[in-house]
Amino acid sequence: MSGTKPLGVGFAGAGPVTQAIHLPTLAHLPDLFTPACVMDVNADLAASVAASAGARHTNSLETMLADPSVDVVAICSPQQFHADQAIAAMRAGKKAVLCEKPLANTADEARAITQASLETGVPVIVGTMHVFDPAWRALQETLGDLPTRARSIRSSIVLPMNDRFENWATEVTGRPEAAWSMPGQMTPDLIRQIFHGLILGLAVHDLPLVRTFLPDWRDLEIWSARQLQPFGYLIAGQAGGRAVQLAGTMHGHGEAYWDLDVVTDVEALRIRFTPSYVHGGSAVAMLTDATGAVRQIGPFDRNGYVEEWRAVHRAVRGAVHGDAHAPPDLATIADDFDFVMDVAAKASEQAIGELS
Amino acid sequence: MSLPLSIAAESPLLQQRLAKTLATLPQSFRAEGDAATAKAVLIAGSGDWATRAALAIETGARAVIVTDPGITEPDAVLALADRADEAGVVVELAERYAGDPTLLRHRPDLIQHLAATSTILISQVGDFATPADAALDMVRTLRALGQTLHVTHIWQTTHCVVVRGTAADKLFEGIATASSAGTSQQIEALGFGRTLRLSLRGDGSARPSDLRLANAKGERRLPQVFESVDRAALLRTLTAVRNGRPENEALRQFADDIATIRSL
Repeated sequence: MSGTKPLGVGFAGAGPVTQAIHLPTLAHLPDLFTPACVMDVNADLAASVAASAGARHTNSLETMLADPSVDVVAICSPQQFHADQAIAAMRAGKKAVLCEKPLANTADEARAITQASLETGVPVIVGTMHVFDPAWRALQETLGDLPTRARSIRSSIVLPMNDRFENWATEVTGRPEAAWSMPGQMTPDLIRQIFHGLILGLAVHDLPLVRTFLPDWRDLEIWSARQLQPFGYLIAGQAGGRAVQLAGTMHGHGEAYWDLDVVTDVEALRIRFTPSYVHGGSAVAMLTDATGAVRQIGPFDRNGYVEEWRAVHRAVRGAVHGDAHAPPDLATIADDFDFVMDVAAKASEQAIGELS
Repeated sequence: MSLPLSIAAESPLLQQRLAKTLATLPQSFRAEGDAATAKAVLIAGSGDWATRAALAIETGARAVIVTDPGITEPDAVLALADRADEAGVVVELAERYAGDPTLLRHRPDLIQHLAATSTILISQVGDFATPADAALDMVRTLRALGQTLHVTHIWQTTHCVVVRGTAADKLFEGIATASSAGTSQQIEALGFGRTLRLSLRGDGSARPSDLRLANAKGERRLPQVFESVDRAALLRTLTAVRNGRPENEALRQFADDIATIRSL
């Protein structure tokens, strides 16, 4: 028991992310958090989700922010609303904001969020769950100078469609219709939109981890960027002489493969993550050295979702200086987002260049 | 019962490698001390291996096995193929990845499953002589999987090479990283209804590679083959010699693949 009253959580958005990720996660942490309010523009959906969580509901963000039982706001709405809602929550004097990835839709919006956090002192935690994965966290404490010696970094995300794991995580109410349509003729604007969506929607999960191994990430050069059918990307490039490959796609069968591979002159690191939504435990990290010895970290019984909420709690209650489990600071959050936007921009320009 | 085929290594360095394999084939082969008198000769696939293999044919070899063949002059490989055909000599390639016995055993199945995929990715880790050799290893694996590759780009960093192209209607991208942390080649073939994940060991041992297929029924691993690349190559050589019908088309494909890499 923490000995203090659980923090009340208000949810901005009542869709599958709230239902299948955050409400089941908070059920793991009853001493730390309690669902207080669910807000959605769809009032019926808000009421339904709130009822099952034992929370109040509203279709107004202002009403939720005025609710004194809401200590922490979880931004689980579409990304174009993240900045306005996160900033409003901070200005309303909430104790912390957990913002689902991506942090924002544009670089300006991201800067506005971090600026508001700086001005109000309200911590922002971005819901990139792999950053908080216990195996990744434990690995970081043992990596030493490995990140500075990486020769290649490869992120490979090959997943079933989300509904498969959503249905294992909860009984989803009011799932939004999938808006699938094959694009017509490729134009530069359409390619920018597609890569923006792919990078901010899927690649974003692991880009903060990829950046860990790219000290010269601001010099990123994209050699190749291609779309994968029906939904995905395949991107290759380099930064500071380190080769980077990013692959992500979703498929119609049930197997999930989610790997991050890093190779140095004398080590090969593979981190295999569990799928989104389900509480399937942490990643497993395998570090092989030149003698063939393999060091394994994980699996742990908890995943990054639980740990990101613990980080929210620590941020509110006050993290101890030097706490290895403290959430990333604002500068790191800003750099992570800049990297995401840089990848999206350079990949789309490379893909556009290949049109001609 | 057929007489064992006499075999020698071209150099003392290869002798130990050959001895390990011969110990598993005591009835089929007989070690010969002198390469000049052996019917089969093991050649290292470094440097001007095609020229050295042709020389072995001139000195009377009826079969030549090339271990880990790398980049060399494509014209020399074509000349070797012509000379081998003319002399009725078997030339067998013992390729680290493309010659993987588990992969070759399941090749027909894999080719069939690959038809249902749209993207092939290769990630290779291990020491390589040159970036071109690493690129060749990846291209050769695709060749072994029945994919006719059109390589369009190669990029390099100091320790990596990235190859991009297409294999018929599939996208292909491969990345090789020089490292002493093991030797392996991972192939991921991605399709909406099917994923293939092939993990080739490439360390010369008989430990089987891991080949997995996933579709709507779930993931399954293909049966293992506990056989080394060298042993499988020697057995293919023996069969070809005994059948008396050498087939050296693979050499011409190898020359094509080198030329493709060299053209970029």
